[in-house]
Amino acid sequence: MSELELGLLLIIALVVFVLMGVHIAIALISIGFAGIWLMREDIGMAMRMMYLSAFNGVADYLFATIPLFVLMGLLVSISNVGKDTFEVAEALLRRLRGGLGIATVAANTVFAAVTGVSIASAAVFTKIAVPEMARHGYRKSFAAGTVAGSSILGMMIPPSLLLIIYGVLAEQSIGKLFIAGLIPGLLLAGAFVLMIILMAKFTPGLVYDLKRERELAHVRNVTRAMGTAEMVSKIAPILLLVALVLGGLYTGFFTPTEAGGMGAFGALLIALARRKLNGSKMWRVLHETGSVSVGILILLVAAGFYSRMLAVAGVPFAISELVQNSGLGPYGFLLLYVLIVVLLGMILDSSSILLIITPVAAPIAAELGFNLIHFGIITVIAVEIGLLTPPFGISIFTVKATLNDPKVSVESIFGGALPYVATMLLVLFVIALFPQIALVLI
Amino acid sequence: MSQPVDDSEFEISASGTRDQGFQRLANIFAAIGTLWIFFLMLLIVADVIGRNFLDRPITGVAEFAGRSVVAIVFLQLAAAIGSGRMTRSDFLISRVARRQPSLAKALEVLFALTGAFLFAALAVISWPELVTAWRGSEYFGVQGVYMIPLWPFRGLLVIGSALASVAYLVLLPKLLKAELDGKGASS
Repeated sequence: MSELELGLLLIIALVVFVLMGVHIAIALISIGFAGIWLMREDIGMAMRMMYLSAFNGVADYLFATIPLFVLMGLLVSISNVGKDTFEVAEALLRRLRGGLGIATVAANTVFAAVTGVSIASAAVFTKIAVPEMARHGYRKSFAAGTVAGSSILGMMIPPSLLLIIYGVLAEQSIGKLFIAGLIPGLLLAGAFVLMIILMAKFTPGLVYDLKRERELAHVRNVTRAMGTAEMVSKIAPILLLVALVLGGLYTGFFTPTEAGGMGAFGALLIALARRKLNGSKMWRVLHETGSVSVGILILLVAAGFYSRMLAVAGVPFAISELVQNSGLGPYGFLLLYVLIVVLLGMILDSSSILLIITPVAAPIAAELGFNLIHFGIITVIAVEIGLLTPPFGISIFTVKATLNDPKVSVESIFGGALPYVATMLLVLFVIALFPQIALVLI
Repeated sequence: MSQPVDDSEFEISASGTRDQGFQRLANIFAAIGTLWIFFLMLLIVADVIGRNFLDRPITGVAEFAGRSVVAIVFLQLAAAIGSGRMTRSDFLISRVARRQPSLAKALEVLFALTGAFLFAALAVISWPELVTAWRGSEYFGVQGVYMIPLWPFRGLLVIGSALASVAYLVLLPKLLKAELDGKGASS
């Protein structure tokens, strides 16, 4: 059996493992371990590569953003700022069906301008939005799916970790990529909002827990209208926080990690000012930050090791050959490419996909006449779709891990995120056809 | 161990008595990791304020933060395994558990053994690296400006993966004895 055949076989084995319920991290590490061992016939090498992945896989300044933004999100949520924001959103969007879904998208859009990591958005908004939506009679699977779906805005709207990785690999200006990501990101957010409005109108059963919603209906009617002053006082802290983080980032005052640290500190000050923290609550927040962060980071370590195995097997090279021998036109190539990225997204984490596929695909794309900035935006959206598709949808797993509610299954969250995947495919199609959407600002 | 689990929502985390000793140890390490995150935040804030307002930046914060991420992960890993917070897709296993509890149990045991083996292997391969780092005074940073010894980070990898391995082993008696109630393990 050739190394390539073995590599492809191991990918199938990974899917089987994940479906059977092996811890995702263990599935990735064991497949990576077995693969390198079998191909190199050297267990020592498998162990050494596992060590390198463990020691260096997430040893990057950028990954420190994850615990910091998780901490910020938890602090914001314990000081009821998140709840207040949703109350303001509820007040503003009361007449719209699906209003809180829209509010989640809107909040994620703002938050995306603060974070570059989708999984950070997913972790933060699971804490804030899902309980709020459940309280207001939404289906939990819709709420969790909405959080997962709109969390991908974090990778599209600058700053974005994925755009940075792509920029490095494809040798494109990261500044230009950031500017190019702005309109596609807002377009995605707009499309999500439209989709929620349409769903709430035509398929309310998918959005609301209809029985519970009826029970809540009279409660809502007696809820008094919120005055402007109350709205401002409720929403001011989070706007200040966003201004601190956003302003700091755009003026170049903060790196993303510093923005995370300052944001978490700002959130801490807000929580203290609102007297929402005592010793035991603070400890609970910190403990939760740790356990959420480790769940995410160990996946990144494991995925990194697994990617190394694939590279050893020559899977990326084989895919490149397949594409070059196919004799497709530019759009045929693009279609195949998006398909491959989405398929890879089902089994790999997003930065691993970029690490594997960008060095292969970018030269082919340039040869076929694509603008590589435009191509990068397409790539990131396609990769993001992978975050939401089974069996390895890391955003879905993040929502599940953060929610920690046995009554909401992974599958129901995948189901809830499905409409968002469809919307993303549509937006991807539009952006592929009209490169100006990405390129007009640069 | 023979105590019935009265609260089914916390199947793994709250059950058992004998292994609470180990879970307590894992929790202590997790707590260190937790404090580390808070310390990291304060360090970054101090650096930002120092650099922009007092003209006194703290050197090496970026490198230290990067290394800290690994430390935080391995400090918390065992507690995450022990309390069932490792991410998984429980779609199939919960269905299998309903129809063939013994098959599901066998699979769970196999998975836990795999986890225990992998982290044990990681602990074993990390050990010589720790010894080298300790003996050779391995540092990271900029020569002459600031230097942080690397051995504590390599040591945390050894301890963290060894604890993670034990955490998987500690799951075994519970997995063998517990009646899988058809809902599958929590994820």
